Amino acid sequence: MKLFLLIILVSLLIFIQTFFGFSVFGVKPNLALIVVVATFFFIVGIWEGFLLAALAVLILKFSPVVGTEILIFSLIVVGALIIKNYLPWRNFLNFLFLIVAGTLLFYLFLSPKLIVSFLFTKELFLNVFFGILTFAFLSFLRQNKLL
Amino acid sequence: MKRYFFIILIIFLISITYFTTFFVKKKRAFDENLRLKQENEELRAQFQMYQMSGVKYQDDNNKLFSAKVFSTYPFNTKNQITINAGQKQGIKKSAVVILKENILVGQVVEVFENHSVVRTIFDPNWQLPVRIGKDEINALFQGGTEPKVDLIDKEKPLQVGDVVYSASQEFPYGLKIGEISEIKETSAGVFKEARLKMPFNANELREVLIY
Repeated sequence: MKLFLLIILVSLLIFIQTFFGFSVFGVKPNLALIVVVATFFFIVGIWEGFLLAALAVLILKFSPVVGTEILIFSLIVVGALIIKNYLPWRNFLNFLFLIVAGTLLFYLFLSPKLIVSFLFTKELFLNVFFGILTFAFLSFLRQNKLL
Repeated sequence: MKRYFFIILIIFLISITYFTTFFVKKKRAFDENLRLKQENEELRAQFQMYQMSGVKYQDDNNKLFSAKVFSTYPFNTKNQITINAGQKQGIKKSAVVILKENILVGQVVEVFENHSVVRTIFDPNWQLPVRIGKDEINALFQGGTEPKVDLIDKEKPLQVGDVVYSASQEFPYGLKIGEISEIKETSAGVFKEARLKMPFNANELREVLIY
């Protein structure tokens, strides 16, 4: 049941990002990265994490070609899944660290020149903001034994 | 047992994602507003070119092929778009991609059987010799999320609203790229640079033409 709920949440947010092009002041937060990494902190085993990551990449794929973006995204989320167990802080801080690192790595591999742009700063801020909301929502569900 | 089930499911999902052309189509329903906006920009570009005497769009009677743009790009970097035309439709690498004959979108960089990848002018590494306005001022177009032109001679008169068009031998001469929106001097003080107002948004493209 828990995994099913997480699958629904991941699918829903990625659909919002891709179908509706959800953006705030012209910048799209990376909802796919946020929701997938957030769910990693609410699963039991690593295989559930891989399943959520694989599902996210399938939904995110936006053309018949597996572009560089999808490949980089896959590597980042798999890396986050593995690294999260080795981070020293509390879950929430570990999550924020992974969101910031994931966003930075995404731009580093895809478009390093944009890291010094206002666009990157805006996206980073939005990713952290929506990340906090997503993590808080999942924590709320867990506290109320819905997750 | 559960673990094996997950592994099989993961392999299945990965296979579909990476080894097939299947993807969840996210093409939005036909958006009348976007279509009208694009048509408006195309007509405006044609009118501006006619107004500027001496700048004539080179129509070499090349056949233009129309293709749809796949999906809504989910990220902020607008480097590439994918179109539903490839080798079978006669698309070749380095083919020029435009909007309605006179607005430059980008260039084909990869061709597959039934689709192609187009590098857009919003790619941060895109550079193109251009000219500006009726006085045909030479400049260099730099792509990115906030495209600009630089290396403009400081002495040349430049105005907000001047049209920037292609002047590279790789592309047909006179394709509109954008309009000057803001002018400033570079820190070195030798040249001017200008920000551009672009006639289209890469995320709103639905249909393009290919040479």
